[in-house]
Amino acid sequence: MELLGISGSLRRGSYNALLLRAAGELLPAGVELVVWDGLKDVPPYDEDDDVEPAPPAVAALRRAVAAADGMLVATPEYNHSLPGQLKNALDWLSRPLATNAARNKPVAVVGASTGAFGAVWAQAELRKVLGALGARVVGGEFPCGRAPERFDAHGLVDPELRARLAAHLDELVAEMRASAPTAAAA
Amino acid sequence: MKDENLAAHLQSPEFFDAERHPELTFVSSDVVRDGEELRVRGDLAIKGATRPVELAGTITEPLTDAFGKTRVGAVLSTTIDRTEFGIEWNMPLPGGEQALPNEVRLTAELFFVQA
Repeated sequence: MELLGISGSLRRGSYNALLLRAAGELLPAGVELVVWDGLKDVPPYDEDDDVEPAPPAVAALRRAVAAADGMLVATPEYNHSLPGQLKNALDWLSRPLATNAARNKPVAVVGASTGAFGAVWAQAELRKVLGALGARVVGGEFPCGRAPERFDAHGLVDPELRARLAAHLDELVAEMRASAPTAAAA
Repeated sequence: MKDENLAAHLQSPEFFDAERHPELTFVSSDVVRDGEELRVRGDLAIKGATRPVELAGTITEPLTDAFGKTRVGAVLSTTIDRTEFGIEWNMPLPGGEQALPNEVRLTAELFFVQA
């Protein structure tokens, strides 16, 4: 099965990108993390541009989500909410609502911040937005606060956080298996 | 439903989860009539949760309809707590109150035509 990872942070060296990488290491056998890195190329949502063919970056996002068995979205927190570029991409993804690629797709959220709270408010808002898309939002928030202390050159080194992240992913993977057409065989 | 976005939201996992639970069912177990008054007990299943409910209402005397058939009409209703069926979505309004109540009134209008 394929898990699509999306980081809401664009900067090089993003802690949320590192968090996605850590998730990729902790996934059970048979589940592969594929990171989508096209976020910066998604244009601002404009209903006048929301026609076929979609802008290339939007079409790529929709294809990547449709091909995946689940999604893991890592978000930083900007002003107590999710970053505009991430919300913008989700707004594109949501159209048309009844048939969008994220509909019924199992998805979990995680978030890293340099402060103490680990983007917990951004994650709560992100969960709300993903629910509005019709995604199957699994688990709660996964706050990774004080990120500079949690990572080193080898990635996420905090053992307690690694264990909590593995449990968070187990919940997501269980939902992906329940949703897979060949659930019995998976 | 006229608003297709509302219809799509209601069928999504955070409401009725129509992908996994495409049907709502009610199976009656007991029907009691007292004159015009009617009480029906049974099991209501929504989103994978089954709960006993009791519906109350009225039933008409048999009448002959425009096609010469014998017809009986009944109106039944009950109030359920949607959260007991796993339909938990809500959102606070700017004033602090929740957008949706948890109590939902269900009404059924039934016609029975004798074959």
